[in-house]
Amino acid sequence: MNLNSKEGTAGITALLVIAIVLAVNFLVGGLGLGNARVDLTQNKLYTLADGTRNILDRLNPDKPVTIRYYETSDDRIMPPQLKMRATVVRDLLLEFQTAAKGKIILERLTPNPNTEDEDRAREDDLQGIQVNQDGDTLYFGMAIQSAAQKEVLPFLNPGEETSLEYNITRAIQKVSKTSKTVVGVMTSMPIMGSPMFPFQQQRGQQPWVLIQRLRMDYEVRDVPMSSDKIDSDINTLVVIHPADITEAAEYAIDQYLLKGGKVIALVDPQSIVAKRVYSNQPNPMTGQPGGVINPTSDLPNLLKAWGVSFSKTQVVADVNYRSAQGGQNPLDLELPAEALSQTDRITASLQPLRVLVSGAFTLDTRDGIESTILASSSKANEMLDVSEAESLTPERMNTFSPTGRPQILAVRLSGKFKTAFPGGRPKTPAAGLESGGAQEDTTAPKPADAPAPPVVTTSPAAPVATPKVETPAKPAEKKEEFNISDGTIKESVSSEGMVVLFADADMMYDELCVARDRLGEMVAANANLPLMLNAIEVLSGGGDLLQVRSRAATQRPFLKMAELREKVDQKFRPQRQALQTKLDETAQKMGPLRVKDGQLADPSQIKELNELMKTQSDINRKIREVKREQNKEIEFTKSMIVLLNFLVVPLLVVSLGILLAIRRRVITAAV
Amino acid sequence: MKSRDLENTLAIFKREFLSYFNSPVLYVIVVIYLLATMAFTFFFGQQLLETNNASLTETFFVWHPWIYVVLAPAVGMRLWSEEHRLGTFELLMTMPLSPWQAIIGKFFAAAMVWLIGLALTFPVIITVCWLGNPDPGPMITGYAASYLYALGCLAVTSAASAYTRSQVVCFIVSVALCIALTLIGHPGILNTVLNTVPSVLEPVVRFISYLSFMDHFFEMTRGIFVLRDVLYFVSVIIVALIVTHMGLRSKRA
Repeated sequence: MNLNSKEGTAGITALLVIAIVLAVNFLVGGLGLGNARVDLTQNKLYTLADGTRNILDRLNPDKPVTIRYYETSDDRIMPPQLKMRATVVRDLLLEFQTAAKGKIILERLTPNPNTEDEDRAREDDLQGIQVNQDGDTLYFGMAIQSAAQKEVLPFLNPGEETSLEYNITRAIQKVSKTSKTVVGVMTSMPIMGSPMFPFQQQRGQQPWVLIQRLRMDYEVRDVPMSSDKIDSDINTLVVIHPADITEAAEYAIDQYLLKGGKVIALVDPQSIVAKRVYSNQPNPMTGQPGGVINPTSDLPNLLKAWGVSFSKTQVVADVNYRSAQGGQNPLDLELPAEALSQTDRITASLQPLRVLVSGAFTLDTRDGIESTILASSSKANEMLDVSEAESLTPERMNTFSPTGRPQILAVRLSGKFKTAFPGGRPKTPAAGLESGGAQEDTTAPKPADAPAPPVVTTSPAAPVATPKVETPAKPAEKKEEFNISDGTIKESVSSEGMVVLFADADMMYDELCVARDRLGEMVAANANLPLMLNAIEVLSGGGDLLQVRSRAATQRPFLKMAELREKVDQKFRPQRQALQTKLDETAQKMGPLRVKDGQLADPSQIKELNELMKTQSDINRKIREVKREQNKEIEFTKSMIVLLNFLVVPLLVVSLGILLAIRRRVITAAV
Repeated sequence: MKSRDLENTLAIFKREFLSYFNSPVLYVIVVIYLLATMAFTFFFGQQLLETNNASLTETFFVWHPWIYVVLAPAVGMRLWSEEHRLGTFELLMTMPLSPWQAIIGKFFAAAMVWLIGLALTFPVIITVCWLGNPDPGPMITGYAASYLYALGCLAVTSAASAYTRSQVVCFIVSVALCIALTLIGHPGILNTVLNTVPSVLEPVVRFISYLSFMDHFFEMTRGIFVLRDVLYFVSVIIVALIVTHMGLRSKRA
């Protein structure tokens, strides 16, 4: 090619263009500039949730979070499946980095065998997977650190893709927090344990496993039942069996919630633990005979204000979800996955949940409050009176009449709550005597420790305060705002109020939620404990973390197929049931004729038995035929779908081709 | 582009597009394509009706690259080889149009044929919509990714056909090139190459493996358009058409 010719110039230009195109690709792909993307999935599965963005916005620029992402790059070690997943993780981390606007430092390390990065991965406690006999180890995880606090995602299991964004966001939030989260516990039962009391030679009581477990991650603070104010630095308040709760305490919970606190409450129409374990036990502090703990608990004013009705006299009996440990007692329930919400972060992927003599909620809509049912009974339930439940006999089950609709056993409420005490602080004798102007001043939260600015929405036109306002207002101004009436806040300061309600308090008692394994270690016996820990984690993480939903494509099942199966099943059910009844009858008749002591009674019986056996095999054959027929209908539909997909369009294309060919031939012949 | 250029390109497009319908090859290829996609979707790997998941990502789109590496060259092999063989290329070049107009016109005609082929897979969409409640996003991006893949293969075929007068040679070379572009990112192959080349060449091998079609295809079938993936396919098409242009020029010279 002559370079001076026209062709030569064109050739060089073409080569230059190719080189530029390759370079652009390399820059865009290799340097991560091409991460710009359009997410077309229905639930925006590959876009950061607003909650994540809010959390990233709130990060302190002076205390950046470092994400050390470890991904073995050696293709000899990294399986293709993980390699594909790694692209997703890398893209997600880049999104985090972009959204954090410099507050996240992303380090990408490649811990290939025998490298310094591999040593760092070990230092960061990453979980390596040995892939061959040479001891080569694969790493795929991350360490998230801010100052001295570190959270590790030891291995990014492809099966847990659903919660990748949530796990990273949670870790970022956790390491960027300066102080330990405070969880308040309010209860009428001695669940916090008691110290050893040397004078009475009494052994101190261990706190419930729930409390022990909570103390590992949180600062757990005892909130007495007699409280008329709840510290505003408590992130989540757990109320367990609030028997005989006073209006003042309810008022305190109400105000705490409206100020931005989160509440988890376990109420119970009949707490077996309170009744059988704690009532009339000697008081460990004094050795004196203990009092009686009311087995019934409720939050009468609060539940009403939240739009939840709860009967203190009725409990749920459910014949479908009877727990095996409970000896088939319909009051001792084990709730499988289908009874729990699989979309809510608190209950998703947990099962089974065990409840003992649980009550049920009925929901009534309230403006601004959204409710999510977390757990419900099966349709085969009946509401029993507490007194009847106590003396439940197996015979009673014969007259069992199911309600046909599931009962709500646990519910999550979120949104903007209104006070349960619109008239202001309840006038209890104690409060009436003690509280005056001075008392009100002390109950007003200090600007510094309030979880959200305590601005009272006094009229609909009043602006709602944003939680981001951090400048402490002058105390005088605060006082003025709070002294409208008696300082009662009428409405949530933000729309992120959160309440989780359970209709059973016994579920967190050690005997019902943990068991000892063979080594004597306490292990979760069911989902009760993980559920409560989930709920506390989710709630104390704040509303933002709750918004970070699952990123995985949700399963979209073939509803039509299930519908069809059910329809066919319904069609054949009477036939199958009739045959089954016949089969049972035959088996019953055969029973007395069967071999006794190795011998049959007489020849007539032998003959009868043979006939019955023949009938039995006939019925079995018919049942098989019915089942085959049933399967055939489903298979027919499937085959039709496949055939239609296969044949219709190709046949149309072929027909069109033939038609056009004939037309052409006709035209050519005419010419 | 001037209106005259556009007219020329459109004229070539029309001539080429209609000529496809006059040849039985088109019908055969489209029918094979439809039968192959449906067979893979319903009988091989994860079978659509057994997955109980109204998504086409893992069952339908996953097979498209393998179908295109064979069928796209079958559609594109006649682009220039036929003209060379019949001697109509010289005739075409005497007409008052530039090689670029011919290249683009012919490429879009072949692209349109694929668009029709792809559109004819609509029964599978009706099926999943009837059976369940699919997410439309991944379907849209999946079809776009599939089409881009087909166009990539077609552009490569166009480049190959510019250099040979035999359709068979063009077909074989194009299939080989498309398979190579599909497989260079395959971890097994990459490992074997990495094990044999000196470590200095490793970055080069990695860069070449980045050019694999496959790596840029799958993310799109999940419901997202990522700039780098779309850009990649567009680049492949541009480069292949430039190579076609170079081939035609060298033939003419």
